[in-house]
Amino acid sequence: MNAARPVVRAIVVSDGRSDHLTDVLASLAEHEYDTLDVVVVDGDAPELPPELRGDVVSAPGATYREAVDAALARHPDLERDYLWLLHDDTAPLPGALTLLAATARKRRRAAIVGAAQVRWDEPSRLVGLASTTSRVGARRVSLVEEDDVNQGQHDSRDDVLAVSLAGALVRRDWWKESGGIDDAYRGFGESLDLCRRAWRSGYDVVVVPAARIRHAQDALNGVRAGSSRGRASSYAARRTGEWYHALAYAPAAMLPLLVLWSFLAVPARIVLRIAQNDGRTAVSDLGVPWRLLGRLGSLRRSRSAVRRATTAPISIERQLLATPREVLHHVRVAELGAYDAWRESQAPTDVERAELAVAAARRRRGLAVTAFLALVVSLALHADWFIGLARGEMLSGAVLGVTDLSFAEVWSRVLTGWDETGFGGATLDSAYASLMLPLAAIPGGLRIGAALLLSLAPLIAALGGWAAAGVVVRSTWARGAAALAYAVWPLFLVSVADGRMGAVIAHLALPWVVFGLVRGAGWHRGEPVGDGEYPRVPQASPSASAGAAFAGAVTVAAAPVLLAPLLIVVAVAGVLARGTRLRTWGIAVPALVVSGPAILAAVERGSGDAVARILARDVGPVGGVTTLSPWTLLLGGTVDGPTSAQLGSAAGGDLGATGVWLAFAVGACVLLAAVAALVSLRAGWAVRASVAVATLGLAAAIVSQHTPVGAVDGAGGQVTPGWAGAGSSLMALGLITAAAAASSGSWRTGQRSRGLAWRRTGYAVSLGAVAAVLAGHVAVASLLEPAADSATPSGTRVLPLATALDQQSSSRQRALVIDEDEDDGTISYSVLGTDGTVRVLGTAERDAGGVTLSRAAGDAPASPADLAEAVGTLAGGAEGAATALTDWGIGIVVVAPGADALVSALTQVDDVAAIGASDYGTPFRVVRGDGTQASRAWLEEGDATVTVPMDATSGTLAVDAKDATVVLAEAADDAWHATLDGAELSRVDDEEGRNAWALDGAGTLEIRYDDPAHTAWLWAAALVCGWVLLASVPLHRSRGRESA
Amino acid sequence: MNAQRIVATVTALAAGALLVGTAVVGTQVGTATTVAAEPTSVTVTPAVQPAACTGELTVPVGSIEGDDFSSEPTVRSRDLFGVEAVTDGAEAGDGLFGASIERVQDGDIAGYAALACGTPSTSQWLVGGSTSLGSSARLVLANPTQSNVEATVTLYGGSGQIDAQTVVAVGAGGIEDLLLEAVQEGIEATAVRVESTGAGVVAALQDSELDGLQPAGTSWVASVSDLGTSLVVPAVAAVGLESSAVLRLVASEGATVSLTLANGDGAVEWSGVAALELDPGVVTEVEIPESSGSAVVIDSDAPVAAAAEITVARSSDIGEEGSVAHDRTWVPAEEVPATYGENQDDGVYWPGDEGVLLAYTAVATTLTVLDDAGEQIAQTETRAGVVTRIPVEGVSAGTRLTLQGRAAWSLQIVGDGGFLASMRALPATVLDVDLSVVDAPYLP
Repeated sequence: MNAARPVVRAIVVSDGRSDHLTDVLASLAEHEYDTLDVVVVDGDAPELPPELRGDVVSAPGATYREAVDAALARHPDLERDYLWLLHDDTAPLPGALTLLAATARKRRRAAIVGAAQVRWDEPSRLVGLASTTSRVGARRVSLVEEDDVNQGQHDSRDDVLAVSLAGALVRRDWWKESGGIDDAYRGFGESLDLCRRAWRSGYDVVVVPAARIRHAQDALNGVRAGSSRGRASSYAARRTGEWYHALAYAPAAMLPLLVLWSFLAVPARIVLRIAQNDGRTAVSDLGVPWRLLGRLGSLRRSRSAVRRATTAPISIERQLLATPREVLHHVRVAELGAYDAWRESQAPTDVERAELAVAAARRRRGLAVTAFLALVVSLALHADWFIGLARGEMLSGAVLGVTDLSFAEVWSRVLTGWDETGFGGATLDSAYASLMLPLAAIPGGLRIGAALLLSLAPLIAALGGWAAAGVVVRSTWARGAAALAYAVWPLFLVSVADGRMGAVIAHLALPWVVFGLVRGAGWHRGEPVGDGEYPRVPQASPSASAGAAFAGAVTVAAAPVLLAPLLIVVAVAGVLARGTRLRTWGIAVPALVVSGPAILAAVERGSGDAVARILARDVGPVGGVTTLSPWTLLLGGTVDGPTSAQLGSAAGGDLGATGVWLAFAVGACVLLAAVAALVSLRAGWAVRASVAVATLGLAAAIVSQHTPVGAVDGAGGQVTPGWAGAGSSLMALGLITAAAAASSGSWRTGQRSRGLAWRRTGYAVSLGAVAAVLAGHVAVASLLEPAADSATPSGTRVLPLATALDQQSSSRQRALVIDEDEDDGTISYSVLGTDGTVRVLGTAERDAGGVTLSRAAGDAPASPADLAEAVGTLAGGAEGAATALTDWGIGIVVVAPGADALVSALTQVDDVAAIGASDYGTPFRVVRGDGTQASRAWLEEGDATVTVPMDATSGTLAVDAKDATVVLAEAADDAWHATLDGAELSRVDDEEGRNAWALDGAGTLEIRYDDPAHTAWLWAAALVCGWVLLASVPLHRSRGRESA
Repeated sequence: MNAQRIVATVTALAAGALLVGTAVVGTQVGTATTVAAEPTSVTVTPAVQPAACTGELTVPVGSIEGDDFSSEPTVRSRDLFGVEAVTDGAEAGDGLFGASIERVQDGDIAGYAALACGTPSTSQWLVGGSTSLGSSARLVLANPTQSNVEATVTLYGGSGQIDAQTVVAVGAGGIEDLLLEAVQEGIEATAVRVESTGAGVVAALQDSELDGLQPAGTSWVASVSDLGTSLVVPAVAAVGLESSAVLRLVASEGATVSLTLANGDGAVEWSGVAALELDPGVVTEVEIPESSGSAVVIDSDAPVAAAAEITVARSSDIGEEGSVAHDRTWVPAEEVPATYGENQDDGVYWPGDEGVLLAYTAVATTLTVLDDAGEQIAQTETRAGVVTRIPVEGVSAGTRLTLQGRAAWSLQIVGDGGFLASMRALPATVLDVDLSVVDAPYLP
């Protein structure tokens, strides 16, 4: 190439689908090219403007490369030809060609000279300059940030790995030598390929930042007529192009690995897309590996083209590749920097910035103080729980049961849905039990997790209240007061003290539903700055809606009675939300999926009583409820009808009466504040909506108390009214939010009026009074003796160690524990498969007849109540009880410590043999008539009995028997299956109500619990909740990097 | 007021009214009722353990030999009814009770001693015995059950409960004895409490006394299961012999007792002892005034145990002319029979011709004696509050008699020449037990 001026042959390739062609042609008029060919591959031939010298060439159906070749065929090769490749959406700005040609003349080894791409409508913003790729080659790293303002920061760039071919000068001899761009890239990534081959052939690739081309990026943005809208539509093609590029340049040995990697990268990408709430890109990501496979046919040709091009050492090219650190930086900026870009677009002014900084600092201080106070409350109320926990004890109580369970036990309960209480029963769903899973996953087991949750519940409630109050008011004082009032709501403190996990978790999760719902619809208050708020228009956040959906699912799992209020609120909110309607209505979806089994069971049962029992049930530890009148609930009291006598004794220093009155005082304060909010007519719709929500909460509480909960199930259960805690929490949230909403801005209004000082003093005094009432309530509650039903720390061992070991051994024996009441001599007994009565995982819900609600109505199933005669026989010191006990797998009888008369009675009985003495009771062994040990499952063949070893819900044994019966000592349920080498055994009737099958033959006997409907619902709920949990992570979707 | 304010006010009022209205409606909607588990009543016939006797009398340690006397008895006989004789172990037998009657003619332990052998018990009191100089109290524990038991022995004396408790392990089918003078000597009047693990133990106390060289009598002290507040000692005088009696009482928690003497003519006020104060654990003795055919009725405000010691005299061969030897027997106080409700039959083994059957009846009633074939031997009408002697004729020794009627029975064995022993009547049937059973949770 001599030093003469290069011959520029401009080629514009058009497919007739872009609207910008006219502008492109118009802009070409002022450039000094030698020849111009407008190649039309499709559509109508355009009209050339009169001042434009050039030809229109028709090349129907040609690819870009073929179109360029068709144009070149019309001109002889003068050996200093440069092709100026233009698309029908690239319009060079004045002076671009001059700069490009000057550089081409200076840099003779440059095969490609590229220009800077700027936005079509805003030429000061860069769209692209140059790009490089990683060592693997599967990621295109652009060297500029998109929409970066061009302030000349890149002007010193020259040698780069690749430039965009749009508007670039390409040496004709290189074009011929290389064969042009590779069609296999289908429009995305061919520039990179051509430039890399140029480097490998010993040529250079240079960029001229001063030369600017307006590029509308129609293909990228998918605005070509006939293509689907939006940048996301070209995403799959872009990604496939990048992978194809990696395959073309990788060593042959790496090829299968790369293809495999493209498949393996899909799940991680999908997770990221879900977190970014970008479902469409997730679907595109799914298709990328398949598209890649589809292109493998042309890979050989591409690779041979690369091989042919590699004549120079590739170390030169290697220096221009992106280092891993640069790739990482690019990913961070591209994927996550979108958040910064979004924030930039909302950028406040400097004055606002200063005020916001002050407000942020005040907010952080307020949050710290509130959290600290809530922590003090937690410690004050339950210091003995923390101490007991540190000593290795567990929380237990008349309502809570024992809590020392391992993760494996909770997991098996969640997976199968079979409740071991008494003789067993199928639960409606595992929604509540799965809430206990993360608590059991903490090192130490459920003992630590449940105790920490209950002890720190006021703290967590305060954080939730802070968040929920923050959507209606930004003042730190108001938020703090609201958070603390919510944290020490009297009925909530009673729920915590009793260990009613369902009501506690519902109370903790409700504020997050409000938080997410309001933020998700963009109704939340902005930070007050100047005379207005920042941001001026609140941004609706999809992550917040997802978070509300998840919190809603948790709430409904913990308190099913709140499903109806949640649905009503979400429905109404969705109607009122403009633009986020679907997303807001979607908040109800996880809650509905979680409640699915229950709704189905209610529909199947049909009878009004059963429907009410199912839909308004209490889950988790239930029992021992004293009902409250609706007025008491409204006033936040914990005991009905405090009398004036109690007021007198409260004044006299009786702590119990004082506590009752202070509870009423807290509720009265909140109610008064809400009424004042209504009356003041401020923040209208927020206040009224909150009061409506409070009404829903009160209605839920009334319904709860009207519904009988629990069953006389022979395992110590009783039927009680439901606990009003969950509804009361919703009501409290509504009233507190109403009060908080009305207080928004109240400090500042009427700043010039005369009554300001009085009003502000009034606010401060009332806030102080509320604080005093709250503090007094907490102080008295912490000083009072715990009620009889409260949870207290106790040693983890309940039954003698040998008994507990027998329960967990492969025979899975049950233990019968008997005790004598000292006062009236009543013998109480309990059939246990676990170390103490377990209530914390919830018990199988039953109807009035004792049948589990998850099954159709029918005869009452077997329950430990049937063993009353046998227990009486034992306690009276008579023979004959052993058979009744071993029939149900009871192999140990434990006499509770202190019941010496029972010990002597049992010693007289030949059926049982004492096996030692212990501080935890006196165990006696019961054996079957034939001398074998009792077990949960066994094989009866004539008179011989063989134990079938079992774990929690399955067991196997190699058998060879004729006319034998397999007996499983659990309440008869169709979900128990017995198979012999895979073939189902037929059931036989068992008069005692156990599961029995007929066995005849040899093979492997397997007994297992399998409820497909339950498993299906469990996984559906897990999937939906996992999805929304991921989606609630506040990541913004990337704003469309070329290789996002 | 513009439209906006009107709308705002109306909707605010509506919201408030809705809240209040819900509360009002809620008061009309009731609450569910609590249903607790119902206790089940179960009637059970308890299994019974075998009865056991406590072996032969033994001569207390410190025997001496002399020219014309020796500690060891040369003429002695033992009748064992209802249980198997065993050399080294508990003499056990089914049948709810047995009897051991020993007649020792000479030696240090000369005298008659009889014991009604019962079934094991987990808690029992033995009022009797002494560990002062010349007296020996040997506690015998027999375990006829299939499992080992541990018995805790607590000693009470004139100054209250002795702190040192002794624990005796008795193997299955085994027999152990414990000399109380080894636990604490010098106690004039002792009472013993035995608490046992497991199914219980059969306890009896051999009370032997020497007055210088003269045997002062040997007796078995029988046990009672529990303290009571309304007790009666059925017989405090020997039938056909001159006798004197002393009443011994102990209350573990202290009590105030009133004593009444009931003889054939009814109740007689006991002069000088209107209300007796008992200190906790202090063993108190009271002389019983002369009156034959009497029983002592004890009423107390707190649970007490009591027994009467009846002493008879006879001329003795040992030592100087005109020396007097004694024989004694202990009669424990029993619950006054209930005046209504189910009455349990008692039973006793007939010792033979020397036997005298006495009964104290609190109300006028009919008493019937049946033999082991169910044939009626005797039937007597009694008056209220008197001791009646039931004539038993033509019954051979060793016959199991069934005693029916609301009475506190006592069987005396009176030997010619001044020998005396007595036995309790023990329950001959097993009563059903009514229990109330309910399911309940079990928590630490």
